[in-house]
Amino acid sequence: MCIPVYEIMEELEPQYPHVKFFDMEFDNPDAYVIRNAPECRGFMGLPFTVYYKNGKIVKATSSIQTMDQVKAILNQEFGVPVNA
Amino acid sequence: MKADTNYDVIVLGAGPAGLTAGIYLSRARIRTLIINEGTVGGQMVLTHEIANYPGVEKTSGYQLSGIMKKQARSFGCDIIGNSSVSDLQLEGAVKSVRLSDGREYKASAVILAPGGRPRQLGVPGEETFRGKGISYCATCDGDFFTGKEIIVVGGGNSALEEAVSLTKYASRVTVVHQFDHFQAFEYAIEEARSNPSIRFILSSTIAAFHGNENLQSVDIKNLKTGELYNMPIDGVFIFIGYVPNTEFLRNQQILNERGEIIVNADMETGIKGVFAAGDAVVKRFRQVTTAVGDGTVAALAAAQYVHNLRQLELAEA
Repeated sequence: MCIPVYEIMEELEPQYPHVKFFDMEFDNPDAYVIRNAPECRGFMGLPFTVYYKNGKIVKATSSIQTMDQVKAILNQEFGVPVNA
Repeated sequence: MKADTNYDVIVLGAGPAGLTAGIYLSRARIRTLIINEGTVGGQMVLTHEIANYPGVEKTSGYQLSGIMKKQARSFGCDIIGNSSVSDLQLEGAVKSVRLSDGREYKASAVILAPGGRPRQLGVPGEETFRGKGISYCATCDGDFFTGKEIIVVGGGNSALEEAVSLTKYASRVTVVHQFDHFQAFEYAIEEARSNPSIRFILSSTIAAFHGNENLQSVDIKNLKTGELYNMPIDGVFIFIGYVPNTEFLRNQQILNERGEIIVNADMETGIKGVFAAGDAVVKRFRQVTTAVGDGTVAALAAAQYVHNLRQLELAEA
């Protein structure tokens, strides 16, 4: 279920210049920060999508999300893009 | 009217059917726009391995959809992804498609290829525990259930093949199926039945999902006796078929009672200049190859329709 979410993020990235997008292999040792985050407790569906703001997790989702769902989170946590 | 919003054909959907239509139409120099609500490639991108696509020994759905997309674009096909349709006018000589962001496109013909999505059980707790114990993709989420006990819901090829595949991870797989027999092909039934890690609960269905942070148990109902009992479980994978993504067409009088698009042998719907292809049309077998075949026929028929329109316009000029 990762691929659809990746594609959504790639499309949204230019629309949200005030948000930095990163992706990380789930099995990468450095991803323990994501896997073990309290906000991701109980997650059993890829991808884990984690939204950081000022160094803190403000939202996390498990499994597939639609573009509308992702945009709703981005708009709520980081503000609607100026050109939207 | 802006020139770049006018096309000869608009294809709604970018799964194998829609992309094939885009390839054929664009190669025939017919101005074509594909609009897709989700990921380009449709359900195909979630298929881990495709080993029965003629001419390709083995590939992933993601790779195959990537090639189809590249092919379509190489012939000049425009593709808009992750955009939902807010208004659709299919009647008349000029069809129009308005997107939820306000953009509007017009064309002489439309090919509907919206595909389908995994069918849900629709019982209490299903939404709550999606991604927290409930999954619709064994390839994606199987690893989370290593050493755990899981249920696979369904009795078709996908359910039984994925049940076998999930025994690589799970300590035990229980197949729950509503009938007392399977709809899968014999080879899939035999493989599942001969796997010692798989057991079967037939004539039964899941009535509810329970848990706290993640799924912990399910209520199983025996459909013959009415008996309801609770079963502790770590995960549930649901493979009970697909539902067509045709809600946006419900006012168009071209759907059957199951929401599938009714077409003739040329993939033409009951509306002149409107064609359909892929998993959303009425048919028995839904495969990448059948979607590609549908897309080809729909594209050629739409191309003929556009050609005839042009000839008519020239004759009248």
